[in-house]
Amino acid sequence: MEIFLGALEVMGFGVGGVFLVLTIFYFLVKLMLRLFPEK
Amino acid sequence: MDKLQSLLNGFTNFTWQHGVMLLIGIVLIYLAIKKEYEPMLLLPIGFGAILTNIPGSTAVGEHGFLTVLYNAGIVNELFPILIFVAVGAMIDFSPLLKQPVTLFFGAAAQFGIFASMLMAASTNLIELPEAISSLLGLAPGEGLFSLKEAAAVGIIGAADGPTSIFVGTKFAPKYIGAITVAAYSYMALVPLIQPPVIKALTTKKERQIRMDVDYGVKVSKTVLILFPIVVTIVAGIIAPISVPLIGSLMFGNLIRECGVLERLSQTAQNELGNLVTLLLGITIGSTMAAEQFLTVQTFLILGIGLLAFVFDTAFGVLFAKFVNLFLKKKINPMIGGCGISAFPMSARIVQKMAQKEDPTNFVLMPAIGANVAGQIGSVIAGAIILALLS
Repeated sequence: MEIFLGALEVMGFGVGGVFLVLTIFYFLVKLMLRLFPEK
Repeated sequence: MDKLQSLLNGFTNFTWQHGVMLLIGIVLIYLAIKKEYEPMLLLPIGFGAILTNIPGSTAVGEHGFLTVLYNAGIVNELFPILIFVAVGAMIDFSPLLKQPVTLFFGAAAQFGIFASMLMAASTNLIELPEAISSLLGLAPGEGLFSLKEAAAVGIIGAADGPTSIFVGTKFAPKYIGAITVAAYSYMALVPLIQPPVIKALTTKKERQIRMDVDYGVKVSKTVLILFPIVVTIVAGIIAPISVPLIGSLMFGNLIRECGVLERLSQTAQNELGNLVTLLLGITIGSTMAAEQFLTVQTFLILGIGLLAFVFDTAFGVLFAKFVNLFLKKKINPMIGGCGISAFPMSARIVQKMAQKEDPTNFVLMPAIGANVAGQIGSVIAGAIILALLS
């Protein structure tokens, strides 16, 4: 049971973490496209 | 008489397990040559399995060349890192940069990693009778997978060989052969795994949704150069354990995009990639010794690995459908399935499916955007798992 609960915890943090990091990348890309537009 | 005995050692030590493993090696080679399933990996893996399972083989063991390669390139994670340099040099991130929203599909499709980790962990909920436990070589009360091993099994869902090897080596070295074979085999089977899942979760009308090729966005050279640097720094600060993985991937990409290292870029894409793939494959094959490979856990790993790919695809598509609820200009939900890292096969499959419904529909560019986002997503997922469990 302990391992299963541990996996659930990793799943929660993992899915949230991946979305969080890629959301940060999303805003960084948006920012870079605005700062350095193709002329 | 002793000399005759030493000549017959190979025969006298031959067991049925050796026979099965030699057969598995031959099947992998057959799949690589005849079916062209990831031949660059499956052929060396198959041959490595043969070299390892010949009784008394000196290719493995303290001074065996395969063991030397294993210690030099797998234990210290050098081979997967070098592969990432090559992969980074091959990837063009412009489709992603033109449509950064595809990053979210790269995140959503990593769900399979965690779902399959949970499945592997849930095998511990079944209490095995003592007789079966001892038959499986488990201590009384011991589960089939520890939490770290379950995570290593789940990482097959990254659909990304180097990440699977990187995490597997750290958390489940005894299952690295099964994990790698599952990861690469199912990547090769993506054209068979993904279409039925995508079709089951989308309507014909949804599959016909058209998308702008690039949303009219042009990406400057500066952004292409800055992207790998910024991603490395940000990911590294958030999860320092991700630095080798994301750093090598982005280093390869920087070589490609900088515009002044064409020769190095070509070398990374070709010579480096080919050489390390060759060594990686045969070395992984050497981990498939009969006593380690022919276990219940191996069969579970192969089964859960397949489900991981199904979960990845399903969650990616469902996420795209969810996003569509809030968008005026709808996204073709099949793009969500491309968030799986298997690059560029997944994007090609979705393009093919879109054109089957409407021959004039081109979704390849956004599909590739989601696909390369999946490459980043899988590395980040691997790094987060390492950070949480190390």
